[in-house]
Amino acid sequence: MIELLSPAGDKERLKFACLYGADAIYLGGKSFGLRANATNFTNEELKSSIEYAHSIGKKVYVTVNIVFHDEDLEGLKEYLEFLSEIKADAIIVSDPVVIEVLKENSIDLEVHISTQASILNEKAALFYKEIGAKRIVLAREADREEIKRIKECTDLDLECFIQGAMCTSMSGRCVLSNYATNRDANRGGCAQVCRWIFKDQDDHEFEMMPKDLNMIENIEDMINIGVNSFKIEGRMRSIYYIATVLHTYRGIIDKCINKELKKEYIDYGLHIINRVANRESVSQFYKVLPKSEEQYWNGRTEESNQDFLGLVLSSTDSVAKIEVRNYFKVGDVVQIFGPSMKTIEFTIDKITSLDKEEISVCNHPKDIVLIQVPKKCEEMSMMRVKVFDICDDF
Amino acid sequence: MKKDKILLNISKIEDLSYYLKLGISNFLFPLKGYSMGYSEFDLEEIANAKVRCYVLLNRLLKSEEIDEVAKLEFPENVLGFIVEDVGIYYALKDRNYEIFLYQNHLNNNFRTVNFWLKYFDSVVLSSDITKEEVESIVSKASKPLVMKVLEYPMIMYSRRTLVSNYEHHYSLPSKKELNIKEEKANIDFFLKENEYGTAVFDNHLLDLRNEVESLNSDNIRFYYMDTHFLDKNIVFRAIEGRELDNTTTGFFSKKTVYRIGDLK
Repeated sequence: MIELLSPAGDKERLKFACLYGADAIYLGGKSFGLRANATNFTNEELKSSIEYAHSIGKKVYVTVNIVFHDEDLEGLKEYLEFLSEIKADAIIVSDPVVIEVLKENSIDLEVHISTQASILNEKAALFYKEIGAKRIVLAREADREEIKRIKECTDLDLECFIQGAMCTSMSGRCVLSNYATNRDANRGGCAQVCRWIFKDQDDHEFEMMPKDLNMIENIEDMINIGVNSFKIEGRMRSIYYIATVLHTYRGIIDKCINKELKKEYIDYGLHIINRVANRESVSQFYKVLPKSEEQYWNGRTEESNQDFLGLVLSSTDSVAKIEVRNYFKVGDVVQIFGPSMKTIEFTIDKITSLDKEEISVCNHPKDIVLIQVPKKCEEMSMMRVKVFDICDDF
Repeated sequence: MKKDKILLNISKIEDLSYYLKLGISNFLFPLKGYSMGYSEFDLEEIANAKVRCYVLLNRLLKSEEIDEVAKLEFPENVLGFIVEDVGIYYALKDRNYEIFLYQNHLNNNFRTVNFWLKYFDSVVLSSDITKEEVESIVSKASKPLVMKVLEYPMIMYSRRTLVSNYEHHYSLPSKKELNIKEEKANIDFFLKENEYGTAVFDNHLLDLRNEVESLNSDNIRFYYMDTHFLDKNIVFRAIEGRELDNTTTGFFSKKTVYRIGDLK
């Protein structure tokens, strides 16, 4: 089983993740998850989201991955019973108390051990297997040889992060946020203090911020050594980011499975991902220990772009109805990519309002306009600025 | 606090005789190659110390390192281990040693602690929790616990060589240690690196000796004191129950929050 696993911070993101190629989604309820300040899902939203995902053959994993204090135990049993009732496909857990509560109350839920447990070796993985885990989300510090050995020795499902922000610390072993801001890192309040710029004793600037993770070049190898689930970080990211990242990795994974992967696809994917993330990304611990070059210096240099021009609401063979997201105009060269359509590129020849008035410039987000397109586009496909030439078959 | 319940994490072998004279009988040695943030001692040094002791392995390990630990022959004066990585449990569980679970920052409620106590002989309680939480856990724990009462808390453990990376980037001489600050937030941390990564410590001395007096001492296996980064005279004053200057009780008297709206 090979699975592309997407984050979703709310229902809109969940729908785009499902559309753009995720096999499974992970998300958090209003309690017990490590993104306490994200929108997250109410119980009603959890239920309807799981029903929606299941209706189109997708799985949903719910994070219950805080490090519990005594006061957090209240309501845990009832919440787990609820997640079982609404048929969550699994829960993601770091604190073993959750497994204890499941067992004591005979609650039927598959358990995945969170990366917060920082599992780096076969024996630790076996321990969690013995207490009931079906899957391990490995520590982001696990290298290729370690992943391979853990798979061979445990036969557990293995989930690895492939894209997104990295913790500076071993996950779970950091309370910088607690000490600097009183916000509890292991209960969802992390203030990302490791992204701050400090001064050393000589007044030099000191930073410790790792570059983002990007595993595009290693996906085929990861499949070959037995990784089952390929996880993208970022429950609070935009729909454009989620769609672009999923679309790219879906393409790469499918080409690996079909033995069609070429270097040009990997290079193209790297360009696309680095562009949408607005910052450089690297493969971190997979092959070598990350050093100075794998950190950001002088702050995280994010060059914001307005690449996401519009969302396709509907389309005929020649005209697409677009919800505007960023400035574009007649004469711009654009691309439209979608969940299963081949990416197209064209110059915008004509834009009209819904009242059939010709307009030359779109600069009001959420306006609805009609543009001429060379072929029918998928609903919920996305129009972006042309930055790179299209790679065939993507 | 009875001296026979103090567990002293040792930073210098040469200080041992001094601590023995003060009446301390339980010592902890960070093991070279398997620990971080502290002075490290190899097995020969531990054997030559000739004191009953525990060995600290506070790194998260790779599989081959767990295999190595399983094969190590420990000196006769070693009574047991304090370990961060759950995987070490399998390497040592059949060898008649006591094994205590450290898991810095993760043992924050009584049910989790009791879960681990099914496998381990004791658990080192987190120092990130309030007095009320500590009282609850100690009163409900199924075995006596280890309670930290004096230390500069290690507040982050990274596999990255953060000090070397910084020195390399700015072409600075290699020191492996660094003080950092962020003035707006009044933050003052220090970093200590070895080949296995970097430990970040808070630069305020946590002193809970007075705070733990009200706890049920029958359910405290050891009161843990860390001598690293401390002058011997300060350790002396701590052992003798005297007041120390410029200390903090940390989260013992300050509850953390996790929703921004709850910040005061």
